[in-house]
Amino acid sequence: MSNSKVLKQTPSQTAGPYLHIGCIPHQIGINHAFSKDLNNLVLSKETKGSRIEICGKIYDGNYDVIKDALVEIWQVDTNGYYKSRVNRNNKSDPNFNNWGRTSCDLETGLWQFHTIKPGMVKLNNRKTLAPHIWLWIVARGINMGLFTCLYFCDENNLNKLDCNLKKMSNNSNLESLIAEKIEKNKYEFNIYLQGDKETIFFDI
Amino acid sequence: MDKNNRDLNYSIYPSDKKIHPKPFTPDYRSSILRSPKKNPLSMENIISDLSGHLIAKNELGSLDNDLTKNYCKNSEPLGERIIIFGKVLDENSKPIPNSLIEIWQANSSGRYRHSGDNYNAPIDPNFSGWGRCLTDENGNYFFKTIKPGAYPWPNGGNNWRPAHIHFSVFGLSFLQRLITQMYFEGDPLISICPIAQSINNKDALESLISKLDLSKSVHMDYRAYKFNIILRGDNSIPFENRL
Repeated sequence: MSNSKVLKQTPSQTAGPYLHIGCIPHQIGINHAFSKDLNNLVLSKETKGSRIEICGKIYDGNYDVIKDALVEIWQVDTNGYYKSRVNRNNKSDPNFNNWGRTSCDLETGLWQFHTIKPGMVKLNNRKTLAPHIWLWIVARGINMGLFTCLYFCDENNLNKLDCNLKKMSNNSNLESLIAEKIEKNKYEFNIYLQGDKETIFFDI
Repeated sequence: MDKNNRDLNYSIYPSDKKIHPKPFTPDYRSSILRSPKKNPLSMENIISDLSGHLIAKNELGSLDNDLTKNYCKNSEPLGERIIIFGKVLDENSKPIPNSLIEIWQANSSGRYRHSGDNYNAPIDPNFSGWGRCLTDENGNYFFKTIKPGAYPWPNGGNNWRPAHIHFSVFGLSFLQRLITQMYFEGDPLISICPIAQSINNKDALESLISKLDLSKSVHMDYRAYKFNIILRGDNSIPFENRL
């Protein structure tokens, strides 16, 4: 059996300014029939790993804060695993959901997640990925969701071994991928869509 | 490879650059300051996730996919009653089951239930403009709703959005994540809308235009439009060949 491409991808379109209605209505005070937004990483007392907060703002080409964006995150659990629906023996943490989303605050533009520090990921050939969190950003004016990747400033040793960061070692904006520690267990990750500090985005 | 992540390391076809809009499309004014100037970098060593468990079927409300009923206060919403239906497939034509789809839209007069929408057209007290569903085992989905109205929007000129419904689709992996907009066949505003025209590929734009399909209509009640959604396909080598 082999795969063959027979259909063309559906093109992306901007999520527009009213994405809250469909994605996170309660967060901006739109009360639908259903009881709660589908938004949070499932963290319970049983979730393994150290609790952290990540937060930041998104800036446009004038360095103005964008207040109408939606941010989604994907990350592995504390041991470096995603859940799987195919592998039932998967060792991932049943009390962690790998995915979350939030909107920027409509007044301040701040986005934030309460999550756990992701573990290191082991790939083949002894390659490793340092702890990292994928972010996906959509908003009015963004024609197709933007992927970027958050690494941690206090994981220098693992960052040096990360097979993806190694390949980008000459990139002058590599620092844009490293979240700064601003308090105990709290990291700041600002995103710049344009300008000298333009964040590195990925085609993955 | 750590065997717990082996099944997650499948390969997926890249985003098709001939199909998706470019970031900088100045006729759509908001893209000017919100488009990265540098090309995105590729990253080959990633594991993606097939978890897909965002919500289970039994966690959905029974009216979540019926916008003609899920916000009724004193009657049903005004407007043309329609069904939107279709399949979620990947590029290999493989149906994608259990994919979450979320939609949002303006009401029949072109007004969103949102604090940021100041258009003169009225809010419909019986319409939220929100819906969601999971695809079935064959990738099928459907929504009952009201045909949204066209509306004017600030873009520096006399700009009107064609009637459209926003679609948010999850697929099986975050690499398949898609947000897009569905249009209606025969709408003369599509060809002059800077957002629709941000797609610089006639066939690709055509694929966002739903087609009237009375085979799924409800007699004397709802007419139906068909809209299939195609996500990036699995490009992994079949397992038997990998050993």
